[in-house]
Amino acid sequence: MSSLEQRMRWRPGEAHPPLDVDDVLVMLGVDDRPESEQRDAVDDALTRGTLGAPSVAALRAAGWIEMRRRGGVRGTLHAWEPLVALVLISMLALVVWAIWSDDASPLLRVVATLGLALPVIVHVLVARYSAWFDRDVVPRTRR
Amino acid sequence: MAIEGRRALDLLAADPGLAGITPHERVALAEITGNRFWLVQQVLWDTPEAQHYGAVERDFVEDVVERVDAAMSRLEGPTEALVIYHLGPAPPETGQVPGYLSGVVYRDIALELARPSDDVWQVLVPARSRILLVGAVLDSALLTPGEVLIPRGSRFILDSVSERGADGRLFSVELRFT
Repeated sequence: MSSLEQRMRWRPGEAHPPLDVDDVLVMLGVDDRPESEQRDAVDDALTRGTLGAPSVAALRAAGWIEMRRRGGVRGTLHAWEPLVALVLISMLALVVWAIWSDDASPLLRVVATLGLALPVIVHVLVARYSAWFDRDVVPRTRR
Repeated sequence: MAIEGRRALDLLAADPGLAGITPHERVALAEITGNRFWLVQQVLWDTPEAQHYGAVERDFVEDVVERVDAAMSRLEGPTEALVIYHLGPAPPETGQVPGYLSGVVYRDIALELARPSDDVWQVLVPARSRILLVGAVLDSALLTPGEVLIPRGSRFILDSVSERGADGRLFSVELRFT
């Protein structure tokens, strides 16, 4: 509950408590409903994308929802993380072998180096355009 | 001479319009003077934080504001001019405050809440101004006696400035409605 002092003193930019789960449930009109209905309402709002970032943050902080990466480059990398790591290690081994072995052809050395560079390039792109890559991060109600 | 303190409170409590405020509107008034105060004000002041609100937040605020405005429109205002107090920097250049403004009819309470460096408004409220005595419609032990709510979008004309406290100032302000 805000106090008279807080209300009288408030101006834009003044610190204030963040939204919490109760605020979100009140805004959704389900604060006095059973929890299953509340979670359904949260799910519905998340699906429609009608909750603002402060509300999503409140739900996340309270453990009501989790963020899942789905689709997109970052999500795909995330899902295939072990395989990506395996490819990287293989490429690294290939490069080391190509450099030190007299049997490796110049073409193989180029392919191995590019193969090693590819994940690095993808990583840089993901970091540079993270907002675009993150658009596939979706909140989901944790039940 | 404008009245203040207990007499001002009695005048506001005698507003016939208070009887017409509906339970639905009381709930909205509880929101604006309670936990959702910041949410509503952020939207009304159109702050950068409000840019991150979604349809749920904005629809909620719109609903609360509609009901609070309806409640305040029922008021007839005090029959005499009175003085209330508020904390905050000088009124904006345009004089218009986009959000609701909280104040109190007791000078002592305002000065007790103010830090030495705070600026305090001494607001002259003309007779028939629609300001709401919060305690007349809400029954909460957490409310400060004599708290008032001034409608959103009200204009304030700065009359004079004087020194108070360490670095604080006292602004004599006149309330004008838009």
